[in-house]
Amino acid sequence: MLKDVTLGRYYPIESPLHELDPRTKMVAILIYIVTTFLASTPITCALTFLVLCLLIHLSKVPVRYMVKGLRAVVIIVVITDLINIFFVENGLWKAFIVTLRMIEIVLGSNILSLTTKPKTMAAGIEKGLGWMKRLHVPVHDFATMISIAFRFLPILTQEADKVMEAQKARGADFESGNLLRRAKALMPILIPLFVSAFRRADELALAMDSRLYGSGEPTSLHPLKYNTSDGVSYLLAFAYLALVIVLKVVHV
Amino acid sequence: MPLIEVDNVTFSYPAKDGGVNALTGLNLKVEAGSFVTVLGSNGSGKSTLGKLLNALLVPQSGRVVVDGLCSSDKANVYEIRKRVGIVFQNPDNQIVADTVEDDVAFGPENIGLALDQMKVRIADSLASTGISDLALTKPEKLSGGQKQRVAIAGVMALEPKCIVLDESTSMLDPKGRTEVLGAIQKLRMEKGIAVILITHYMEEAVDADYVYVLDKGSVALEGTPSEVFSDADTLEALGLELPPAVKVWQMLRAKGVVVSVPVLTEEDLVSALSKLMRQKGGASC
Repeated sequence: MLKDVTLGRYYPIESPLHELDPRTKMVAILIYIVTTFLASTPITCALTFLVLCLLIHLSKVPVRYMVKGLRAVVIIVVITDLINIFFVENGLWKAFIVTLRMIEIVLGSNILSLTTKPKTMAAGIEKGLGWMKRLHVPVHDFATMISIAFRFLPILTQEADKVMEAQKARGADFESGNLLRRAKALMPILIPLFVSAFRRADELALAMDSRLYGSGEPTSLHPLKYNTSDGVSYLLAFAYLALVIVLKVVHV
Repeated sequence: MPLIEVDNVTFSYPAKDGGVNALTGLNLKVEAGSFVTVLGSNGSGKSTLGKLLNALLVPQSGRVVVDGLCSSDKANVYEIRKRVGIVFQNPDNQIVADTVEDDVAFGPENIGLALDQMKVRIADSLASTGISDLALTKPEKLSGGQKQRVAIAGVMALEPKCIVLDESTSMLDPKGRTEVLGAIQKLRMEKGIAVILITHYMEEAVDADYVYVLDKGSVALEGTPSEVFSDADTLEALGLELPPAVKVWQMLRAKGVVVSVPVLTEEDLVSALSKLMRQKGGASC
C-alpha cells in the first residue's frame, strides 16, 4: 500500500543531466520554474514547453516513468481548471495556462530528483549554502539530516506496513467508515511508528557520535567540482531566462 | 600498561526516583591486541560498559583510561573515539549513508581526512571485512551479516586500536553470525586490533583470551574461558547457559568419566572422547 512513495526516487542511468553538478541543476530548475510563471502568451508557453521536452530528452528517463509523477496533481489541476472555465473571464485560456504551468513545474522538479542522488543533492545544498556557515547556520547538519531522512524513508515505510498488518491481525479496521473515522483508525499505526522512529534516532545518534560526527571540519568522499558543461549550462539557463523576460516585455 | 583500563567505575542513568546503578565498582583491563569477551544476561550492565569504553558515557565515579587518555576529560573524547570503535546491535540503525562506500566514508569524512587518504582507508576496510564487491550497493539490499560487516568496516576506516561489539550478532541468523565473527577474527589476526565482544551467547566466549562475566553491574566471575566455564553453578545462577559441548563434558565428569583436558568446543569434545574410547578399547582387548 505504501510502496508508491515517489519522493527522492533516483533513476540510475547515465545522461548529460546526470553528470551535471547538483548546484547547476538546482539553479537551472529554479530559473525554469520562474519562466513558467512569466510565460503567458502562446509563444512563451510554447517556448517553455519546448524547453521541458528538451530537458526530458536530455535526461534519458523514459517519458512514461516521468509522467507517473503527474498523478499526484491531477485532482488539483482538474479542480482549478473547472473553476477557471466556469467562473473566470477568458477561462479556457487561463485553465490551459494553469494546467501547463502545473505540468511544467512538477515535471521540471521531477527531472531534478530523477537525475540527482539524494546524497549529491544534499551535498549540493551544503556547498551552495556554504556561505551561511559564517552566519553560524549549521548547513552541514541540515545536509546530513536530509540524506539521513532519505536513507530511512524505505525503512520506515516498511515498518509502517508491518505495524499496519500487526494491527489488522488484531482486528483493526482501516477501510470502512467516513473520513474522520478512518483518520482516527490510523492512530494505532502512527504511535508505534513514532516510538520506533525515536528509538532508531537515538541509536543512530550514538552510532554517529562514536564515528566522530561533528569532531571537526568535515571533508567529502564526493567533492563537488564544476566542469565545462556546468559553465555552458549556467550560460544557457540565464540566456533562456533573458529571452523569456524580453519576450514578456515586448508582449509577444 | 593495558590498552583499556576500567578502574572502579560506577554509573547510573538519570531517573526521577534516583535510579539504580547500572554499574557498581567495576574493574576491567584489556591488553592491546587481545580478545576479551564480556558475558552477562539482560540488565547486567554490559551495554552500559560498552558505551563507557568510547566515551559515549562518562562514569560518575572511577575512571576509564584508553591508551593513557582518561575519558572524564572532555578534551580526550574524540581521541578516545578514534581509538575505540563500537558496532551496535541493530544493523539498520547504524548505517548512515545510502551506499556501502559512502557509509564507510562517514567516519573519515567526519575527521576531515583528505580525499586520497580517505579512498585508501575505504578500500582497506572493505577488503579486510571481505565486502569489496559490495562497495556501491544500497544498504537495503544487504543481508544482516553483510550490514554488520559494513558497520565494522565503517569503524575500521577510523583505524582504531580496539573494536567493541555490543551484541552485534544477536539480531543475525546463524550464517550472519558466522560471517561477522569470522570477519572479526580476521581483523584481530591481520591488524592486531583488540576485540571486546559483549554478548549473552556463551559459545562466543570460547576463543577469548579472557572472559568477564557481569552481574548487576559488577564483575561476578573472570578468567580464561576454561576457568570461567568450569564454574557451572555460578554461571547458571547468573542466567547464562553453557555451550552444549561444555555441558556434555561436565556431565561426563560428574558421572566419573575422566576427561582431563578442558573442553570448550565441539572439536575438543570429539577429540577427547575418541581418545578415551581408544584407551578403553585398548584395555578391554
